[in-house]
Amino acid sequence: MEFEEMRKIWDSQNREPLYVINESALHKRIQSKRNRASRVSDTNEIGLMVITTVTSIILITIERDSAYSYLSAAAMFLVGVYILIGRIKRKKRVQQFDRSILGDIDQAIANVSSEIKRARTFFWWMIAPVSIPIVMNFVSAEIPIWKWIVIPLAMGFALYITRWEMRRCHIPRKQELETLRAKLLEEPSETK
Amino acid sequence: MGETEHNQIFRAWLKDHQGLIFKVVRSFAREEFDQEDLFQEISIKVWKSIPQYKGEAALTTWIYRVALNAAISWNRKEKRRVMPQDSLNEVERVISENNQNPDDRLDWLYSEIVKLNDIDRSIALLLLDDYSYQEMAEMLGISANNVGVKVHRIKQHLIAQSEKISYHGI
Repeated sequence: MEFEEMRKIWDSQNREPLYVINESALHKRIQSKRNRASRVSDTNEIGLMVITTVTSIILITIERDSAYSYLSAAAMFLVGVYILIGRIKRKKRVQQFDRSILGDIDQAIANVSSEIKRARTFFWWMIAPVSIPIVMNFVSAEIPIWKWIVIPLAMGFALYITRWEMRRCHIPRKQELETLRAKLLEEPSETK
Repeated sequence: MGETEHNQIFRAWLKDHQGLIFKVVRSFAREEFDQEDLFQEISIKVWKSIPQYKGEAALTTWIYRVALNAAISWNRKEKRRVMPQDSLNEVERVISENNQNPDDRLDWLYSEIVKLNDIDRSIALLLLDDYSYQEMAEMLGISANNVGVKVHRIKQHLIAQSEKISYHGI
């Protein structure tokens, strides 16, 4: 069959739609999916910002006379600011890519790369600034042994979860996107 | 833009371009529940794209790009997702097949398109809808030369496949 014949077959479907749309069901589904999607994408960042801000407020409210509490609160607050800056940068980046399929793929790669970067540097922007004042506080006061065990364990667990998510979700996703990008840009040297 | 205006634009876009969206849906999803899911996914992406549309490209081109991008992205996620067969019966259906005059030749064409990789599938759709190399290149973000090479390969492949089958309708 010649390609023009295929095109005629293809055009035949323009006379009659392939499906019938249930508009009210579609409207309901869009509302619910839209709300869910925006909730999921914002939960991580907003959640972390709320946690860091609330924790810093609690720290300076509970132990007003401890310098280390102020230090820990400041560290937590700065972590929140770091997350906020990352969020603003990510939102700005969305506007920078061109409106093509390649642009969309590049944008998705940039987003997942920033997730990977954030997971890789989690120790430096979260664990270290939060742990140092806590450890200093522990050293300066008589702290029960269980706290010495529980706090590093909790930090280690947070680090492990972040790295696990990066290996399990973000890195495979980035590889898939890069494969897709390569497929799009691939210029076959010979044709069948 | 208010919610009402946004919804009105969406309805108008959907009414005028539903055929295009259906073609993308059927080219990327074989099973009924997948077609339902992909149609919803594309509809949401089209809905979200409304405020971003500034009229630089033709509306059909814009919606095609949004739909293809949503389908490619859905296809990646779909590989990791398993949906139970009976789940579709539990919810109100958004689309149902309008199979009044089924065409075996069209079914064959779709079955061949769906076998292509995501990128070639997108190009095949645009090609069958008579987009120029330049328009395809702009939509995909690659050079017109690259599009030309891919188009040639896809055409040859489809013609070769059509020669392999001995079907009275084709």
